[in-house]
Amino acid sequence: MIIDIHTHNTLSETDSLISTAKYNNVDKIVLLGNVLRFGYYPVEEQVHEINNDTIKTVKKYPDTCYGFCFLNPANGVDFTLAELERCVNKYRFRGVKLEVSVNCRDKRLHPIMKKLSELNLPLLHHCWYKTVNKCPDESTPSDIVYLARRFPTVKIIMAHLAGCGYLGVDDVAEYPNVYIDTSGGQPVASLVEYAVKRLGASRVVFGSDAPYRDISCQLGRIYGADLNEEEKEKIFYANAKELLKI
Amino acid sequence: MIFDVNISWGVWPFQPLRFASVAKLKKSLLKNGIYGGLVRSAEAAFSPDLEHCNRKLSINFKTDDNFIPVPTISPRNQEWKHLLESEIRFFAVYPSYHDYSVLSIEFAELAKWLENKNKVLIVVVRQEDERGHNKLCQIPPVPVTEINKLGRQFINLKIICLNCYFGELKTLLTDVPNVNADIAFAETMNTIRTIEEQFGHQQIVFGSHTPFLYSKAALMKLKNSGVSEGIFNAIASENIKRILK
Ligand SMILES: [Zn+2]
Repeated sequence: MIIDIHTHNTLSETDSLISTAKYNNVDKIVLLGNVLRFGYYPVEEQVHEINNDTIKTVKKYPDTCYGFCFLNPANGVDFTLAELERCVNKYRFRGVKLEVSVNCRDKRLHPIMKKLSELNLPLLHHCWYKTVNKCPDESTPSDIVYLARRFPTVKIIMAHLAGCGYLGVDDVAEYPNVYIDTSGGQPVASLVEYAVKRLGASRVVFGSDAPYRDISCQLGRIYGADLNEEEKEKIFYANAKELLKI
Repeated sequence: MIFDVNISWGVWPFQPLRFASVAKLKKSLLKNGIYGGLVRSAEAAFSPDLEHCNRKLSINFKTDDNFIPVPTISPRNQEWKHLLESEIRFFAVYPSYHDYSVLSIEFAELAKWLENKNKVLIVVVRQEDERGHNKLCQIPPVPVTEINKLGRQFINLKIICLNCYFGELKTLLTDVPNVNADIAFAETMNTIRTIEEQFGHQQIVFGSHTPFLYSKAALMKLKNSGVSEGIFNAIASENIKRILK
């Protein structure tokens, strides 16, 4: 069984995303939303629309897809919390996705984090150490550490292992509420093993970042890593199962 | 049977490369169904002494093996004139790391020689994702517009470009049948099928960028692509054989 914790449902490609996942023996996928559809700073109506798209796909493929509620912490608190409750209570979304609208040290994340703690749901946060092409409010692993310390009861999935690199893995090692997903960037060799060595296999989760990335190639990163079967099983399935409560 | 045009050997300052010996590298590649490949020196990107790097490579990899050592040359180091007289068929260049343009006058002289002697030019477009570069060592990629132009200037020069992004392939490959690209960095949904639909497969060769990347990633990209056997074989090994003829 394989669960992909990091995919995006861009409207035109959703059907092929599902069929490609199946073709590659990926059984379940988490849809994080078409998060950049309206740029870095979507307003409330746009956030609502992005989540509606995810709801549509989850309804169409209920046995395969789980939704995460996409939010922009810069929007009104009332809207944000209502949107989160709508997605979770009505459509059984399994967590929240934050992208690059607000750096995660910003206190505007606090109401969301408190709500996640209350609901016992995870946050999946975009993350990267970039030398070039950095978005203005993009978060780094050291920013994630700040958030993880402040909200130790919320499980945070730090996205993009290859983007976070060795340094990013080291940054979060001491914070047991931080997990790392293997999605995105090139399949840089030895990095998955390093993450397992520093964090333990229970804190590494498979993600592809499809359709921006090739699921087969992203799977190869795990199959190619020098890990035992039990560790791979945790990365592919057991950890995500626990995080998503399935 | 897969032939890998994108293998490196040596040390790299920003990443511990995974195999402790040549034997272990070869064993891993063979286990993955890669029967041979082109091996270049990783440290040649930074070393001021290419002769030293090439010698070290040729000690570890023999030309009669299926894993062929590819010497690195530069128009700024005249050793290439002597190397071109040898039986060696492939030559690698790191234009960005060695700080020259493939459209420079100096490079044109080298390109002319390679073309006349029917050698194959391997252009390392990048070694790593630029976003992850060390702040003090930011090396831009080789502009694919320049390589495309080079291909138009030297229409009989066979060129293989390594580590291009999917988004660069159109600019790189248009109207230059003598220019080819490997698949190591190219990635989109269903990469190989998408490449086939948009550019065909004639100019695409298998490359994994081992040991920088997991070999398995490029292998699964090709093996799980669902393309026909003919296309699979072309990318896996037939295209490179054709380039060599
Ligand atoms: Zn993503």
